[in-house]
Amino acid sequence: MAEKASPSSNSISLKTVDGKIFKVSPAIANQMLTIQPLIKDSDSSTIISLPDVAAFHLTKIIEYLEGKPAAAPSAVDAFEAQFVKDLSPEELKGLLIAVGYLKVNGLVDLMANTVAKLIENKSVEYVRKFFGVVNDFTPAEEAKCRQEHAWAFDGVDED
Amino acid sequence: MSTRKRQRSIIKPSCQNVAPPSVLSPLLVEELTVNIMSRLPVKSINRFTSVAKQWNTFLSSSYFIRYHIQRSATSSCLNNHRLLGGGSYGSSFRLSDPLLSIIDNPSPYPTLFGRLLSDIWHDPLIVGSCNGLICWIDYRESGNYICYLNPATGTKSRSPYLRYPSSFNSYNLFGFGYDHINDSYKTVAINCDPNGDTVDEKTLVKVYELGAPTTWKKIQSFPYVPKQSGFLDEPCGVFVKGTLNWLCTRSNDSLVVVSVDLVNDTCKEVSLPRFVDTNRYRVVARPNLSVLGGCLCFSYENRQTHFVLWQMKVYGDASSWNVLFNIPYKDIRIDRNIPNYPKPLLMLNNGDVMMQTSELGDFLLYNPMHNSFKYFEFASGTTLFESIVHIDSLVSPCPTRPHRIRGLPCLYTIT
Repeated sequence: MAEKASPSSNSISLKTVDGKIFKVSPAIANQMLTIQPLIKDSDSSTIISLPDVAAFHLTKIIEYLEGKPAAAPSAVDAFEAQFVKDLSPEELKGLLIAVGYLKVNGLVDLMANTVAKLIENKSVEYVRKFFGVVNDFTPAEEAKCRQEHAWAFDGVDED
Repeated sequence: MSTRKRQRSIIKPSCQNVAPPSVLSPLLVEELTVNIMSRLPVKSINRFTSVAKQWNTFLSSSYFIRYHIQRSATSSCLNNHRLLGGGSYGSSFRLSDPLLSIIDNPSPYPTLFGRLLSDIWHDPLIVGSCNGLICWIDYRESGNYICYLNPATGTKSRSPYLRYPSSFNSYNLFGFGYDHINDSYKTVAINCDPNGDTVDEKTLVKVYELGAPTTWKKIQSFPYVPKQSGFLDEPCGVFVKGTLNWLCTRSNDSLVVVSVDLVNDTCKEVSLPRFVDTNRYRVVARPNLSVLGGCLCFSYENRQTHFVLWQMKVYGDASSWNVLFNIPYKDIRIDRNIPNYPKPLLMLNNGDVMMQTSELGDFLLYNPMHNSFKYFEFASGTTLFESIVHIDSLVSPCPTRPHRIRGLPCLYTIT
């Protein structure tokens, strides 16, 4: 809808939290559902600030949105695997939050699946650290809870 | 909705710098965390109940349990799907590794079943598996109790005593399914006495709601006689969209699907494809019901050479039956002398239909769109087995009184 109102050459400017400005096509920007309502009313001089998104994350998001449609249907899985392959756990987390914040089509699923795979066999301590959760169990309560689910603690990866 | 207002007020013609409402709300992080948790296997979720109190409460909540089932059942990656085998031939029942690893694993002779569910049960009749709960009958103990087990959490329960008349020729059929309106699990037991004088006297149907304080309840009217398979175990009800379905004969001997609605415990007829001559058994040999892609399916043997499968796209709408496939026996490599096969099990996201083709562990992935065949053979040890699909879940088999089975949950380790 926004594209119709503006000439096709009209690109959208997105400003990341670290001050970088990215120019993207309306087709790309429209797949970030959070900023969709802003695109509708914007013109070429509008800059949309993304206070929670770093340049690194936006680069990756654009890479995904441009790369996925270009991949053949049979190559989408390979493209997605390649996309997340070299991300560290910290980068995965940052990207997940950026993607969740912008509500990027398709990428929320991919990121959530990737993080799920990452933590599937991890320890409770790893997960606390990863999600920044404070353990509010007393030692006795935690021991009881672990005892109830003792079988689930077999075969846990080293942190 | 207040956020929308805020956006509007920010965007004035003179304003060039706009921003979506910020910032990292704890809600977003929470939403993403729940999203991730719903994709984990049961074992990981059980472990992460020890992360913090709030996690413990949330991961045990009925909301999350339902969310997790929904995700597992529709997920394309099959990491919570397993095959549940055994039962029909006097073997104890067993669970396979997740289907994901089986289908992706190109190893030529993988072991299908990891571990016995228990050493103490023999000759169980598996009635069904629904949302992670296995419903079965231990005939060795007494056929009058129906047992429920969640193998992923190691919890089990048992129905109240089921009283039914046992005359010489009578036989029983069972079915197990889920009432999605009331979030409850129901077992239906049908007792058939072919010598009954009227069709009403031929069948007695009772329903039990899992965990309910009430006992077995009689369904008022069931004027049909379920088809007898002629084998040891009678066919179990096929669960589709809140209903259990059996092939039955009308009083004029024609075939019909009888559907028991688990929400209000009523039964009705569902018509078979009208192109199929259901009045004559010879034309429709070996008729069977199954579920593929969440739709009721009707299969039969055509001219002793072909296996035909119809799918009802819209449940209850007889005009929505269409032929999903019609394949020659020689392509599915089955022995016609063993009448239970092929047995449709599951439809994958790419349209592949998984079928068991022999009791020895032969499986087939058939794609009707591409007419492609992929054969599997699994080492099943020495036992013959018949399998059904089971999806891991956190559902409790007894909402109020769970009983943990000691030592059970190690089924995930292959021995």
